[in-house]
Amino acid sequence: MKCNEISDKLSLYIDNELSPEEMQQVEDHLNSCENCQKVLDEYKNLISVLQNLPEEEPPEGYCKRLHEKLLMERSEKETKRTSKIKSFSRSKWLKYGSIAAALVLVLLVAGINNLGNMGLGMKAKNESAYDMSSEQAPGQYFGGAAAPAVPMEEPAMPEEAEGMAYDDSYKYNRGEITYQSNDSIVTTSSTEQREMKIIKTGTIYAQTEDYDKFLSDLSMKVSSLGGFMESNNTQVYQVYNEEKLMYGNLKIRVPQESFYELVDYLENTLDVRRKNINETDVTKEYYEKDNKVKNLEIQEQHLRELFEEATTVEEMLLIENELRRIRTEIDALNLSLSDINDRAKMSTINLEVEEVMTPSLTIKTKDSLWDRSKAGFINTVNGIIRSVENLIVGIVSSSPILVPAVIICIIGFLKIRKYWKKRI
Amino acid sequence: MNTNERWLIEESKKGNIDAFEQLIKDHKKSAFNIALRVLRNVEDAEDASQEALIKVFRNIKSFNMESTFKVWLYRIVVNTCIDFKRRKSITAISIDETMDLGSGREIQREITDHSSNPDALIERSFDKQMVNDAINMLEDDFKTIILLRDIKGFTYDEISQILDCNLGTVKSRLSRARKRLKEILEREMKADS
Repeated sequence: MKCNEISDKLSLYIDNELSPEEMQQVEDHLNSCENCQKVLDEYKNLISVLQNLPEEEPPEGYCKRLHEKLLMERSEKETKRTSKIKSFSRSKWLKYGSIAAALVLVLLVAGINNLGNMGLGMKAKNESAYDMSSEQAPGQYFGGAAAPAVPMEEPAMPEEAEGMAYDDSYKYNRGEITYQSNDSIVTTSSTEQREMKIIKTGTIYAQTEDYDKFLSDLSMKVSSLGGFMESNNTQVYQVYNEEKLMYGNLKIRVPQESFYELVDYLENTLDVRRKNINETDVTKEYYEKDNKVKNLEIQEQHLRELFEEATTVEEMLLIENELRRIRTEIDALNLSLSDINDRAKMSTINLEVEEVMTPSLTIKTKDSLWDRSKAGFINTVNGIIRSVENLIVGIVSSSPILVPAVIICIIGFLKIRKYWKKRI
Repeated sequence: MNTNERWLIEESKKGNIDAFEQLIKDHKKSAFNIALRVLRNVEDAEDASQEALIKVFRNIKSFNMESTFKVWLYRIVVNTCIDFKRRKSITAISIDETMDLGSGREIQREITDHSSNPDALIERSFDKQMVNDAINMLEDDFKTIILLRDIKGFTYDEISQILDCNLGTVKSRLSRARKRLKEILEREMKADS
């Protein structure tokens, strides 16, 4: 063995870290090589010096400062611990958060499987609720209708009686409300029955192939219903292939109970393009005015009595003046009342009829910019919804792989963190 | 690990500072000296060694008795001191390096010549001051391993735990460190004479 090989091993030789064979080799060499023996002695000398090197004393107050730092550290530790009790530590958040997330994912999978059924269930529920309400509603009114049969001896509850009479005039027929005017006065109670005052108006725009035939048929129908044509504005609006195309603006009045019959008739005979039906309840307005009239009449009566007792001309003039004012007011109110009555009794239909060559001769207009952009927008939204749905479906369908993967990742992450912590 | 130490560790885990101070009583000075060797500045040495000891206190709960407390403590001390030095980017090491870079090759050749020179056969004894200075001139890796082995007397196995490396690395590194230290000393002595 050469000297430089030996010198590499001297360090280990000193520390007794060589294998017995190597030890022997080195010893053999040392015995024969004075130079290497010297080097070994130098190493031994160096190491003994190192072993006996005096250690520097820490500066004064070192222990005191360390003690203070330790106290600080402990108080910090304690505050940390108390805050830990109050709120989760970060790692715990991570731990429980990930468990919660995994649970949510699992529940999501289970939930989505049942979602279809759930949706159906909800729909069914809604339907039943709807049925219930439609079943219940007439029942309520029947109850109300039955109530007036109970003899009411005391006229002390006019409000209630009124309410019941109000209900009485309702008749349910396949969800459509038709009002039957009831002019008779309820005899069980001294209070007058209120009649519903509903003004029905309809605006219909329609096309027909044969205007003249339609018009004569319509007149017959209207008069058979007990109505009349209030106005008829007919004109030629176009001459097409020597044929005159007519346009009519008609105003028809029919008794309010026949209103819907006429609307149905028009819808059957014409190609209705636009229909607008309006029902305005003016009951309140009507009776307010009616009451006003009654009050005024009482006032008038009173004034008349006063007038007869009047002695001076001045008094007479004053009362006469007042009487005139009241009479004017009563007249005005009566006028509007009769107008309401008239309009409520006789419904109005404004009819626009256009004669065309074929009923559906309309030029299909090109979609406007707005329509096209609307369609585009709807398309995009639908696309987004579809892709989100697809994404959810994708996530859910891959969740059997995804969920364990996420859990493994979290566990791995925690392990690595722990390992690093351990290393400090 | 004796029962007293075990008890002190348990007490320290509960936050008993007196017990902890008792536990580190014998190591405080060593910790300071290691820091001083690495950082070569009393204030920095105090800061670094105290930081290390606080770290020991802070993390004593995670000490699981796998290694001895002493080994665990020195591991923290050594790592903290090296980190501290890196943080402060103390230029001491770079001064050494530039020195080495500048004339390293020459020195080595000189030393090799020296050992083959019959004059070198005269036994030299190294005095303490020279050795002290020579240690300070060592690279950090060599410095720490010499500190741990020759000054603190740790076994090879303990050193491998403290430095978190395998036994082979400890052997070769220690061997090289001693050789390097001897070279520095021989160079210095030659320069003196």
